[in-house]
Amino acid sequence: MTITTVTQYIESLSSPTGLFRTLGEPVCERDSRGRPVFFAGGNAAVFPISVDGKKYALKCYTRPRPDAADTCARFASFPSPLVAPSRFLPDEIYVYDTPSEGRWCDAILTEWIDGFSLDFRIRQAMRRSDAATLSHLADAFDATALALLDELWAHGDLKPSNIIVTPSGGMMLTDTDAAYFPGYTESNVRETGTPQYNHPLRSGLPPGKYADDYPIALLSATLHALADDMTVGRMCDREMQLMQPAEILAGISEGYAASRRLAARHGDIPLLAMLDLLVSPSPQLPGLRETLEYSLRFRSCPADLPATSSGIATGRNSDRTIPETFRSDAGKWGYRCGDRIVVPPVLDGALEFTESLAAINMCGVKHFIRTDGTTAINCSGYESIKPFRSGRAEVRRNGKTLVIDRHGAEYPDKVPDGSECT
Amino acid sequence: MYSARITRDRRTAFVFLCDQSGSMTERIVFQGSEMHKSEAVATIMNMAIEELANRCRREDGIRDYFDIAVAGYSGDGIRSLLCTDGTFASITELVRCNVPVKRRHILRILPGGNQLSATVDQRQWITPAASGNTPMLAALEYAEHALRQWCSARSNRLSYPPTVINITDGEASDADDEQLLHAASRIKSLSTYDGNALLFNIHLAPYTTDRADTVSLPCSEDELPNVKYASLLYNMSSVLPTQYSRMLSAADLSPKHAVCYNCPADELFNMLAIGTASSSMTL
Repeated sequence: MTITTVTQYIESLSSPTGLFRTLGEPVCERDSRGRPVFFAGGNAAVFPISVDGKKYALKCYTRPRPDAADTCARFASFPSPLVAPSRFLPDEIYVYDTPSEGRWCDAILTEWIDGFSLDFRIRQAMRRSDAATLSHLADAFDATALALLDELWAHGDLKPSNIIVTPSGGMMLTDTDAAYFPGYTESNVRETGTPQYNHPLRSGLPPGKYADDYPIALLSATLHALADDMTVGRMCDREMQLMQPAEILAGISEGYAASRRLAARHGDIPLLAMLDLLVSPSPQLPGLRETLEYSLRFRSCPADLPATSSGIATGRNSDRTIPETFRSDAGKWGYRCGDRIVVPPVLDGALEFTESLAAINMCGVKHFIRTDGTTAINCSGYESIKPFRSGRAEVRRNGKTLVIDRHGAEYPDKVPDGSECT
Repeated sequence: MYSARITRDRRTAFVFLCDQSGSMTERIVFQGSEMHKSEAVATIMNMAIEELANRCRREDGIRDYFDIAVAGYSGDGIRSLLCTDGTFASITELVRCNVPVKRRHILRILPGGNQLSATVDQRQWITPAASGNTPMLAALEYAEHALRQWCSARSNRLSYPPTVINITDGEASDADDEQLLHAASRIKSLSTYDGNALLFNIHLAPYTTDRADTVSLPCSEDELPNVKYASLLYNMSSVLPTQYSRMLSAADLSPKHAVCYNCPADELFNMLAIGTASSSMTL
């Protein structure tokens, strides 16, 4: 029984002459000491190399991977802009066990993706207190997640270190060893993802397309929480994890509770909706796609919104139909136009629209929203709010009644009584 | 069990116990060169530390996933062989240590049959030593004490269980078999919430051993030669958890004992790689 070590691969790449079966003498990137540059993971080391002037990532496994060839072949059958083209190279690299004895090892050659991992970019943004970058990363992730949900396959091990943020701000996926393809059974899937990013019950279920659901919800919620308020990052562990799935489901995650509070404070309805998905008893999250689409619409970048398959309109509510409130079986409130959900049912209270604005209650915090479900006026400082009449709405703070206009500016005048959002 | 991911907040620990008794002056062949066993073990230990550091390299540099202790046992007693204060050192502490760098020249045989001279620069955290008796019981007790403190630390309670790797070329001089078995049991009873500590025993082969006599990770005692000492090491060693077997071979999941008897020097690095296979459980 023999393990191939990172050290063995480094030695072969340091002096590649005669040690590569098809790649000739690949040129590897070197550090200041002349040693090959590499990045290690749990089951492999990746070396940036050049072959015939073109840059690639050479993945060398340190654990047995009998299905690596099959995974590469499957991705070739399902080409996707989310994954760089890869080639499985059987018996490509010769590594030495002794100076006179060695063996050939398989490798995977992938076209190089310029950029840094999402993990790296998050840390960088946090160090620089760069909320704008965090916000862009969160939106880009939501768009990438929607594209991934549209694929027939699932990545299977989504986490920040497996996502590359390209210089243009887009995202691509790496480390596809845990991928699920249609028709896979339990015998096909040997990797079950990283527990810190997955629903605790995932490993007990047969493999399926749902494998990315929970990690998507977890990463989206984390990114948007950090973008809304970076101080919540103080609750992250050193792996930049704000919330652990097992703790969320046990109701003891401080990061999760803090994220809910800040979602309410900021009027971030899609974040609240995403956090609601994280307490699902099942790893399958049926409302995930709609929540991602709502999140992108809510954050109002119409030019960047992807085409959706669910029929939910992108951008502002262009047909000007006024949504109506509805209540879910769980007793939460949302808004819809006919069958089309405008705001998912995550609210504790919701009044009908008047003058295109509606008063809502999110976890005890009040806001006014527009007909497209975006927050118009953050009323987190008020105990109660009333609907708009003639361009004014009555609000109360510290027991004192005030009036605000459609921009949230306070006025001393009163308006006729209406129902109150408390 | 044995499923906790290793993170910087939840590290795992490796304790290496290196026999530095007088018998380690015996000459063996390692990587085509004849040298003292103590030199070979020191070289291989340095390779193992370098490998652990390599496994910690990420996009943003070296990450502290492991606490490492290396102790030598000889006629001079038990002593830490690392350049840092304290029993355990983190990976970044070791990488930052100002240790000598030794250049090794190796003549390699290419797959096509040609020879190629290669040089390998190796940091020397561990230096060879050999003298006196073999206080293996004292070494095991040293490991037990260190890990008892490590396991009880709040930050380690949820960590992947620690691993002890004992490298020896002969029998203990400070204990009988029963005492050694009890000491091994005490180590194996130490635990985190994720499982019990694992104890590997690696017996170094003498110069003259036929490779066919090497027994690695046996499933049963019957696979060992009919030698009392081999049985002792087998019974001292842990049974590897199934997850371990899966890390080593997707095909063969039969439970194995963490022992290698008559391990040639050229095989020792591979055994240490197997002994530290849990290092692949990083997040």
